[in-house]
Amino acid sequence: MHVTDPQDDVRAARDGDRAALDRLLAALWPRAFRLALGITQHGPTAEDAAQDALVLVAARLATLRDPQAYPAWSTRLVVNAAASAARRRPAHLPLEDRGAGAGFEEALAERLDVLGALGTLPLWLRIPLVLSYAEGLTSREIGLALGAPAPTIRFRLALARRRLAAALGAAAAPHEEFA
Amino acid sequence: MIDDSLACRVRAALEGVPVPALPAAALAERIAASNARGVRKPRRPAVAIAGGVILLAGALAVGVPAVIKLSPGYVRTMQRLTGRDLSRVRVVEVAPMSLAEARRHTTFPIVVPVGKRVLDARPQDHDAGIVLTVAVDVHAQATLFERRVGAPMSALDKKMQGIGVHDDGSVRRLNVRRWRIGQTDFSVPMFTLEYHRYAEELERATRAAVAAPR
Repeated sequence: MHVTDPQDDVRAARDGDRAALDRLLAALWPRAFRLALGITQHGPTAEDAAQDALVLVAARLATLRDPQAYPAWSTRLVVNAAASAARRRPAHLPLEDRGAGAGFEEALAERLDVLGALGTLPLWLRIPLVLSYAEGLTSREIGLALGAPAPTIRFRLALARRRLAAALGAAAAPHEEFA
Repeated sequence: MIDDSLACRVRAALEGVPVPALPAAALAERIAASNARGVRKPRRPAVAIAGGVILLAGALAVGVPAVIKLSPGYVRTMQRLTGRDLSRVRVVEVAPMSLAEARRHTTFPIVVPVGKRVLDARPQDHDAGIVLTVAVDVHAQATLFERRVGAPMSALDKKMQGIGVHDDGSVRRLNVRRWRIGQTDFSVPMFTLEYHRYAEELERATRAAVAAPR
């Protein structure tokens, strides 16, 4: 099995190595799709947005000076592409369209509940929440990706969490701190 | 990674959705097409009223954004407003640069708003000031003008202050929030209601930057 350091791939892809670029895009794809799904709440739209983001990554990689910044930089591109797609998308789509794949009925219902509740959050709350919960990013990292200060992100996360818990009928842990 | 029940439910919901296969062929095609077209700069909110930006920039005696073709409607309206024929005017580009680069080119004391990311900088002629594009929100950017108090301004610039001309030729008044700290005048053009909040944020952030111990 061929294992390479992602930063080596970034450097190589930036210098025009097509194989390295393919590896980077293949590694980014699942993350980009899930992130876009969390933001757009719609499978096909998320797929389109993730594709848009990957095209942008390929087109702009040469302008990325610091390979260490690649994760935050690529996340920002995905978030921007997904947020644009979410704004273009019709507001009300039937739940069946919301990226649900095959699965057990209960799991499917739970998934639709959660995605539906996420969809009730405005984008400025939904995006940091998805980055925190699904990507495991800290508020500082989210701030870097979104161009906002960490305290602002912490405030948005706390608010988003309260609203999501209310939408799901779950009790939010009162003392939880976001890093 | 946060591991409470809410986070787990969200994570499980997102991870439960099967990821479609990477559409490698379609992607390669789009990348090739994108490379053929060249890299396009992302649209920014202010671009929609580029004319306004040009005039406001003119009003504050700064360079205008890069490679802008003045539309016939814009030229007609400017002629009506100022009596000047701009149809043959070539817009001289002031290339946006990084903050570090701008600092190398200028002795103007640039104030960087605390906690805001500066996306690009355009130094003004004669070291009179600088125009910063600042990230103020998740997707929004605002333009922050910093200018030496008393720096010279042409008669045309004064006349056109606070007025914007859209590319379609319609005249629009721009609100501008202004504040002064020491020997620097700050201003932020406000195109929509949201910009009022951005301008307030930037005023606070510049005051904090100046107040911070060096």
